[in-house]
Amino acid sequence: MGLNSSGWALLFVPTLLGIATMLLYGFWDRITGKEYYVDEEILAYDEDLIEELKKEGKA
Amino acid sequence: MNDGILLGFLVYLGLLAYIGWWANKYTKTEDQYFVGGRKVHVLAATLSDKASDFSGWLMLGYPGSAFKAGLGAFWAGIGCLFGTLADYVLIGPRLRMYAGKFRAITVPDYLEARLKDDTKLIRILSALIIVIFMTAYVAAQFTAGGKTFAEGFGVSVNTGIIITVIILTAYVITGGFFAVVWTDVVQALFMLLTLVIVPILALSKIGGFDKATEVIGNADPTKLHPFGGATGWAAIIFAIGYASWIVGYLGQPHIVTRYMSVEDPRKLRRPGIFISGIWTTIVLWGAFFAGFLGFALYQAGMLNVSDPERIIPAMAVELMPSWVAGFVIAGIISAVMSTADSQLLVASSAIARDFYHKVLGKELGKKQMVNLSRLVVAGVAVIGLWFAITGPGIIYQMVATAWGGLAVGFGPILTLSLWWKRVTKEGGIAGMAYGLLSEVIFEAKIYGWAFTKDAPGIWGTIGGWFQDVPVFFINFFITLFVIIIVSLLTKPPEDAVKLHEEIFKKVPIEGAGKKSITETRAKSQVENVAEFVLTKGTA
Repeated sequence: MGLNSSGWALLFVPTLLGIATMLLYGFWDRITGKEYYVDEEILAYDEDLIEELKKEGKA
Repeated sequence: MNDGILLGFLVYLGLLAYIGWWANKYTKTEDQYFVGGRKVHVLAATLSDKASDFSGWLMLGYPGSAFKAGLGAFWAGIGCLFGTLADYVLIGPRLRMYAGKFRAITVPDYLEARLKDDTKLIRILSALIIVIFMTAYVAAQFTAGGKTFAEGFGVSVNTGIIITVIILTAYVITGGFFAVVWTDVVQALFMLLTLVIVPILALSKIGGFDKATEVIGNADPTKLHPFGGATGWAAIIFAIGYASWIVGYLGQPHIVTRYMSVEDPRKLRRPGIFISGIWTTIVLWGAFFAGFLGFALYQAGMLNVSDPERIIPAMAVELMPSWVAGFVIAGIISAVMSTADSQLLVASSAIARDFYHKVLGKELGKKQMVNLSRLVVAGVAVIGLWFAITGPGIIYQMVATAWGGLAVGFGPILTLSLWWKRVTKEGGIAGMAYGLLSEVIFEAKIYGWAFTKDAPGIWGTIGGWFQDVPVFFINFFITLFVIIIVSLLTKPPEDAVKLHEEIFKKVPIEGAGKKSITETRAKSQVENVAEFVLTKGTA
């Protein structure tokens, strides 16, 4: 019996749109050639954790 | 009790226990307990994001809905997929950047700093929204755990709820955020495999997709219709009713906290959205078809199930070899645990950090704060246990109620604060206060989780217009409107506007003065784990 065409459209059209959104957003920096500026101030790693990792020779 | 099921489940428990023990070594401060030192690897942060998001609702509630409503329930999956993508496009990277700048550990930390609120009202409102709705959400997960244990091991639902609470609370208390994130990664993989295996086995059992649709169509042709047989306005309302989950994604603290922990905001764009998006697509298809095909098996007389929400565990126990069933039961419990652990952690942070530490101004040492947070986790778990045992027991409804409160309380203000420089603390306070009060009143006193024409007086007339649309969906846009109007009537601080303009400036990718990956981050969690295992062993 299977599904009719509107049933198949419900399953596949939004899924394909979702994949297109992922691709567009995922590569938006490449498309525009620009990306957010990020520095140490914004990364703001936990100092105690870095200290701990350094002590254990892992950072 | 089946030995194969028990063995599969015990292997899974052993894995969780090991991760909890390992993570405890890295949990010394509040920063580490709540956001993993803002240094969590993007793979872990994004898989943990999805494992925290998709709960017992995915494994029990959604398949139960597909069982009852048929093809139309797929709209809920569409809402969840686009909600996930909206989180990455609208919330993730910008929230991580602000969180780093403000050294924010929790969502209330961020909102207070962003809106420059010196009244503490935003923190108090946030803590109230989180405590009320997150505890209800945790209770829904405990109920889901109880139902799964009942189906898998033949115990009572209440006994299953208590077992869930004990296992979960133990590892959240032990390991904090690191334990939660890394157990989430393992659990995300269990969930993925479960939702691939179950529909494939169901399809083979029923004899193919054509046979399944024939059985379903003979039982109820509306179950093969994209709008459940509705047409015109009723069809639109039908689709919105299911897809409304989308707006809720913007305001779930246990989900957006994952973005605040990631090692680099740019990685949420790539590979972040791909990891989350692909994982989400697969599990939503799997969960939908498990329920859809489960109904066909039920109609064909191949499966007995007492409660549509128990369709996946019932399929596992009745149709699969015991070792596969043990694996599936572990996958379902994974979904429950991976959400409830994150929610316990967020509820704990709302009380221990946002209220006790920041609002009351109580100073404790770093270690004492972590210990206080652990005590709060135990307290919230006990309250959640009480709600789970005395609550309605319908997971879809319990989750929708809690999801709605968080969506309306946090979604509009989080989104606006990240994208609109003009938003003010007065707008935020008015919107959050409206969101909290209206959700409690509408959901507890007037409608329940969705609009209905059966509500009294004028509320019944309004309810009739939006029959079965969740209350939070309409309320989200009203709250958004309240915040915009109040913000336009008040003035934001100039330095907040200036920071907003500066922090999101974009620079050319090449020659932007960016450091290399190895310079901008120290070693990732994956590298740390690998080195730790190599140098110290696994014992």
